[in-house]
Amino acid sequence: MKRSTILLLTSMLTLSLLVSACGRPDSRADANTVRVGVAFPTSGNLAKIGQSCTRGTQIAADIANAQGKGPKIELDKVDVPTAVAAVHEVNRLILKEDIRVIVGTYASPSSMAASGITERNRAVLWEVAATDPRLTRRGFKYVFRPNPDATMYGPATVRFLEEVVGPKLGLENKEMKMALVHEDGDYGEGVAASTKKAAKKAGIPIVEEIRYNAKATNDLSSAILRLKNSDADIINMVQYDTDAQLFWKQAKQLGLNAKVFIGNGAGQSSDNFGQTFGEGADGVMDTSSANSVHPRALTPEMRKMEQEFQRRYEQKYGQKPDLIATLAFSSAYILFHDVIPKAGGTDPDKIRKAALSLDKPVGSTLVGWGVQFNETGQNTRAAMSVMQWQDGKLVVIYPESFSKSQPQMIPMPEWSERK
Amino acid sequence: MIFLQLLISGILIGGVYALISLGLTLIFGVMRIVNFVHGDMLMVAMYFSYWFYTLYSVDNYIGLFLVVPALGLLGALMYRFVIRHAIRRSHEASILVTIGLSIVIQNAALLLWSADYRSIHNEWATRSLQWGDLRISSPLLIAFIVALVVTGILFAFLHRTYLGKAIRAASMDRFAAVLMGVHPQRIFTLSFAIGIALVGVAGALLSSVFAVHPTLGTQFLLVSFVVVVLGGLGSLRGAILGGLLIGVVETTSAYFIGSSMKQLVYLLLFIVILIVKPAGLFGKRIPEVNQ
Repeated sequence: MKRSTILLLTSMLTLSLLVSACGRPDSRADANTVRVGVAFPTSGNLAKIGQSCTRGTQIAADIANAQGKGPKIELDKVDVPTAVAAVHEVNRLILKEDIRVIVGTYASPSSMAASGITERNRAVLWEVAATDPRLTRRGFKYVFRPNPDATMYGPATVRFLEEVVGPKLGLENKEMKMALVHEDGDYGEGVAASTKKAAKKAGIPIVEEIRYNAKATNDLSSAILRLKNSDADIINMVQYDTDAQLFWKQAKQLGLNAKVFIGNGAGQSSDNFGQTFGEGADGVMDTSSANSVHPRALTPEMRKMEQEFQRRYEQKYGQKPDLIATLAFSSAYILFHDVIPKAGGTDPDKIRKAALSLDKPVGSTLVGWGVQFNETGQNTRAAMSVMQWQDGKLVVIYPESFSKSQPQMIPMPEWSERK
Repeated sequence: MIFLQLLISGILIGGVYALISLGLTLIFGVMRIVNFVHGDMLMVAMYFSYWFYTLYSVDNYIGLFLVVPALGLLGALMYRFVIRHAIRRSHEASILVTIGLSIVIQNAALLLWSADYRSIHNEWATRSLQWGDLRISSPLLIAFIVALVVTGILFAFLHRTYLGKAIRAASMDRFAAVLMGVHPQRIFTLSFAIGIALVGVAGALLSSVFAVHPTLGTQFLLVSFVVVVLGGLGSLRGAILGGLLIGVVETTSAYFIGSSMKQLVYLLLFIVILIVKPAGLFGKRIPEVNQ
């Protein structure tokens, strides 16, 4: 490299540092504005989900600001693709930017790491998506999780199997053979553990369990062959996006048939699953927080809110919100609409007090849950639903109070009978 | 029966690995560049194929003939503007340059095409041939056959044509090749373009098998490095055999030991082979050509 080039690069770098250092508008002085950090993985392999979460959170702030109930909310968004990045960025937000409340983080490892930083610095982590049960079980004061944790998946799935699938198939619990196939990270292991526990309690036999590494798996044919051999009636999947799509393609190629295919959030609930397979996705079920519950389950206020959210989201981002965006919106909206105005700002102790005092009935959030935090910061009124792909769309089929459609294709037709 | 099915599945996924590794081994063999952009170029090729399919309804098997030249051109440009400066320097230089380029390409893809997981779902995508209880995935079978054909063509090109011989000459002894009138920069541009065009072949064929997203490349990069080193750096036959070996070991160990353990098994095998044959299965000890 020529010396002049080096000189040029160095000066550009210095200049850009200077510009970024003094370029920030000084809104801290404004008493009627509070700043909230937003930390999701918007690059890297979780980018799709992180972007949706960021967008949902942004719309929640937009709507809360338009309502003008509390102080104006200004978001400071950062990208946390890994747990290490989460530590750095959360540290920076708290120490450099003087931010006391952070909405994040989606990935459980990032959330576990970030919560250590927020707790130590007396700042709030408002977790809207991570499901690791340990997050709220370490006695932290300033961690709040409006969404369900991983231990809630298993019981919801098993209840659905007992109440809906068993009667439809004419099978007793002990006759419904279930096989598990899951990725081997915190998410897959956590959900699988809760499923095994709930199944054991209900007397549903687990005939096979297959774990695999989602990031390094380019082929699932061995897993599918084992599932074929297990002769299971119910195949329960815990998968991310790419592996869920690969699994479904190879399931067809290798002729894997079962009476019920049910996923747990992520892969099978992603809009990309429907985009890829269209009607080929039909019949696949998914236990998760609901994407859109029947209006009768919602308060009148939330019925209107659902339309406003959809309208604003489509206007701003040119696409419909997916499940995780809706979920992030719903949970962030609790913070922006209920907690911050009540606390009169972002002081962590006041936020804690305001959050713990919430007592909202079922149906008072966009996804149909109620809100009541226990001492650990976990929302005890978060509820799970079961959804199903029908005519290329993901609709809620269980519980009945939430459902927009009836369960179909139980048992699932064999591949040779499908077009 | 189950063993036969595993063998077939293993050979098919092995064919995918081989197809991806061909370009990598060619580039290393000729230029001694450890190309970390390789996985990302696979990603770019899959996006091209996806967009041809979605926007202009060009089936990915026909799109192949558009994607491959496009990738070749990209490869040539990449060599001219970036890689050229890393050549004739230490390995660290080429590693840093290609890793940097990889980060740039991944984030450009994120910016341009968003983080969605996209996949072609044409009627070939989930089809399979059935023969008794055995099932053979059609898109993977096609990829496998194309991998063999492409290797054959490449082999013939390198051994029969003047250009091919010049490429081999430059990889064996650059100094002597220059004395014989071979223009090294032109040869390097050409080989880099061919290497990237080869990964274009893989991308077009695999866009109906895997869902593409900006960080897809990293998923395939490690395994293709293992394939290339196992087969012998720079050896085309080695890449094919290494790919198949890893594919079969992966599927059988995933079935009998456990899917989480399959990387462990093939990496252990990798270590054993390197202890016995340090230059890989078909590798020759080649002199460093840094001067």
